[in-house]
Amino acid sequence: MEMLVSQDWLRRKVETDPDTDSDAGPFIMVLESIGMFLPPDVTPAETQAPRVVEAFGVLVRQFRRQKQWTVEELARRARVDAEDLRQIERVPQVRPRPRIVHQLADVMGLPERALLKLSGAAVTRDQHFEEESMLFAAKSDDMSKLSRDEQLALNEFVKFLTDQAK
Amino acid sequence: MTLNLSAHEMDVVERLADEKGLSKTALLRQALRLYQSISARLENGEKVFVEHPTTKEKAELMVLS
Amino acid sequence: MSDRLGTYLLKDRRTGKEVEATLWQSIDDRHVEDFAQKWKPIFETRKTELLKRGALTAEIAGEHNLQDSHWEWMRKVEQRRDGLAWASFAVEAEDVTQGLMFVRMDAFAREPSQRNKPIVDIDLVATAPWNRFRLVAEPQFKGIGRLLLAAAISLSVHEEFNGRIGLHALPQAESWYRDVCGMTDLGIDGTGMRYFEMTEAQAKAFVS
Repeated sequence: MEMLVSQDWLRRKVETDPDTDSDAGPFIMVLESIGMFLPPDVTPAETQAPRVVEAFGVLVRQFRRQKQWTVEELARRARVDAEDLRQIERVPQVRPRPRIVHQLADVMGLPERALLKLSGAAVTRDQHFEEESMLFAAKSDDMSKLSRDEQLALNEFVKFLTDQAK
Repeated sequence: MTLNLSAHEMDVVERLADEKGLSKTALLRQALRLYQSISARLENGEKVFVEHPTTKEKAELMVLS
Repeated sequence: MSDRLGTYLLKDRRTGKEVEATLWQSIDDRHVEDFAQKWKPIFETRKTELLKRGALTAEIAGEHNLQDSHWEWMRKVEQRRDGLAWASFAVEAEDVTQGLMFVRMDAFAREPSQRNKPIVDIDLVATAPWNRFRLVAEPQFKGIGRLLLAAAISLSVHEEFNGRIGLHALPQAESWYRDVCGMTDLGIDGTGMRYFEMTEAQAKAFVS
């Protein structure tokens, strides 16, 4: 078999390619599913401060309400199961799988690592992070449209999460 | 080696090669691959099924190995 | 026996330098050995860590069929050697296996414009753990995934499949295959993974 690409082709492409994983296949998915490929600084743990995890559900719900999207609409855009999203929004104890967090981080334009910590997929011993998350969760109210205060709190928290990644 | 195929068999080879966009040699190689992989599965004790897209009815594929 | 398909240059992110790599067709004993001796311990350490912290429970392992499929493909190397439908590739640099790929040639296309035509289906593409973006802080080599994809397309052309290929992407690789490699996203299928296919035109664009 003859290769259709040259050494120069690869060199050229590598220069402009984004830095990302390129793995494929069901076998490697098994490893992914158990959290094998989580970043090393975010270690998965069974226990996470419940209030921090609660903040994840609140954040997802408020983001969705801000966009005025239905659960189905967000599920479609994030390419995740709508039922999983409903669980995340409604059940504070739910610890979503890293894949779902990854997909949501993508659609919400937020740093994945911060969301992994918030979702309980990874443990955090960062007290400041916990405090900010709990404060945010406490400010939420479940009215259908975001109030001005909620809007402000959401914006502030999004900024905090983004700064976390810097 | 020379393959002795009937006129009917040659027709099938030509039609399938045309459908799949392959030369006759590539088609026969592909056929051999499929035959080998299905036989291997059956030898392993696996069953190979063909499923109807709407009725979901399954028919077991029988290959004499 | 492996065939040397070519010599390419990978970028070492740690030094910024180019490092010579060899692309082989057919995974050889030494590649399997590298996997067992050099890749697997890193995965195993990670697994132990997950188990210790309670993140990986028997229930989760069971749910993902982890015991059964545990490194099963290593054993498959032997079986697949006799299979006409299988081909395998390895990338070596600094005398170590940096990437592995298994493909099968008895699959058919699903994308409407090429439905039922034969394709090269990528069953596994994996890079060594130290090249993995989410596993180590500073992954070493860049270019392995792209080189292996080019090999799959070259094989597809060689087999008269005109560059048509298909694969199931890992979630964090979905955007790579869709947005960078230009493959068609055919949605999540029965495997629970997103399935992508490359048409003849997309393959041409990829290798140009």
